[in-house]
Amino acid sequence: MSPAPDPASRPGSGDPRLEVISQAYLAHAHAVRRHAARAALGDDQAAEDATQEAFMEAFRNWPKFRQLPPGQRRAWLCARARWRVIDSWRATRVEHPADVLPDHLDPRADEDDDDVLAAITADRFWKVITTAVPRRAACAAYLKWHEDWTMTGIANHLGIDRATVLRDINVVLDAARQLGYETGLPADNKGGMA
Amino acid sequence: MYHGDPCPEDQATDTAMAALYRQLDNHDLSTDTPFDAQAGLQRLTDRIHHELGQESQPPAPPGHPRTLTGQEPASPGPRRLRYSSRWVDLIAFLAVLALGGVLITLGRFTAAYSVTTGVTIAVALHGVWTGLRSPKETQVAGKPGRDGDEDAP
Repeated sequence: MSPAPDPASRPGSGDPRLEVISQAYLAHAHAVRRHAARAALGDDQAAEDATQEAFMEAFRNWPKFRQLPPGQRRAWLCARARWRVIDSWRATRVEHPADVLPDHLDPRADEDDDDVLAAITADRFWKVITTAVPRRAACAAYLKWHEDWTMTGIANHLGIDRATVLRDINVVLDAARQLGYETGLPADNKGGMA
Repeated sequence: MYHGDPCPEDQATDTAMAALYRQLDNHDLSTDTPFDAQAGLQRLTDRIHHELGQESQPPAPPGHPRTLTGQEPASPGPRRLRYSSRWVDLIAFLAVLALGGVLITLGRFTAAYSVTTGVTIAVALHGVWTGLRSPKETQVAGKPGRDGDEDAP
């Protein structure tokens, strides 16, 4: 077995960019990866790749990254990782938009959601959006509520029409409400969703 | 009913759902895969070393005569060429050479390049072309710095 090469002899050893970005990685990578994993809906490999790419972007955009205050670097890296995941959702085929709004999708529309949704814990919500709803619906919901995109923007990005986006959003909303109701019930009346 | 149009009920729903996503961002979950920071850092530094190694390829020393062949990556084509009187430019070509310019041949073109002024005079079989090019544009083997290229947001 050949000995490991001397790190000091590698190209770029001592480069200030490498030092700063390594320090940033140790400080922020855990949060950046968690951020990417949420966007990737639990796809660990996609999250890892997005994390790496975020730090490589910091290296390639060194003048910009260097000027960021330390408190903003984590947000900058998280955004890069998130955008990389979101970019992978971009539709390769765009359907013709049938801009018809669905009717009566949600029979509980008039009820007050706030308390129901506020009762949900992050763990249980994560389980719902990664296992109980279709992936496309989870992507649409992420763009809607995490990224604050418009319905039209989501439809264009995912290559579906607005009516389908609305249906997807309501699927996630219904699942969340159901979870909230179950969470709010007494322990002996809760449904099967653990 | 959630129509995607702004109304007070929808805003309350949006606020509650956005808060759920913020919770996800800010908290580790019991189902999260353990994160190996050292392995990730090693992978990252390997990639950075690789890019730094590509950056550190030595550029051609300025002012050193060299002959280009078709096998080498060609420099960017002259950008501000004009066709002019062949005699005037032939004299200019010889003048640049006489003042210490560098002789470069590329296919049917022969050029005299002045390091100090950045003037390149190229002579072709069918005529004489001249062009003013910056020394950076004329550099053949050296790559422009990545920082400058990728500074755009």
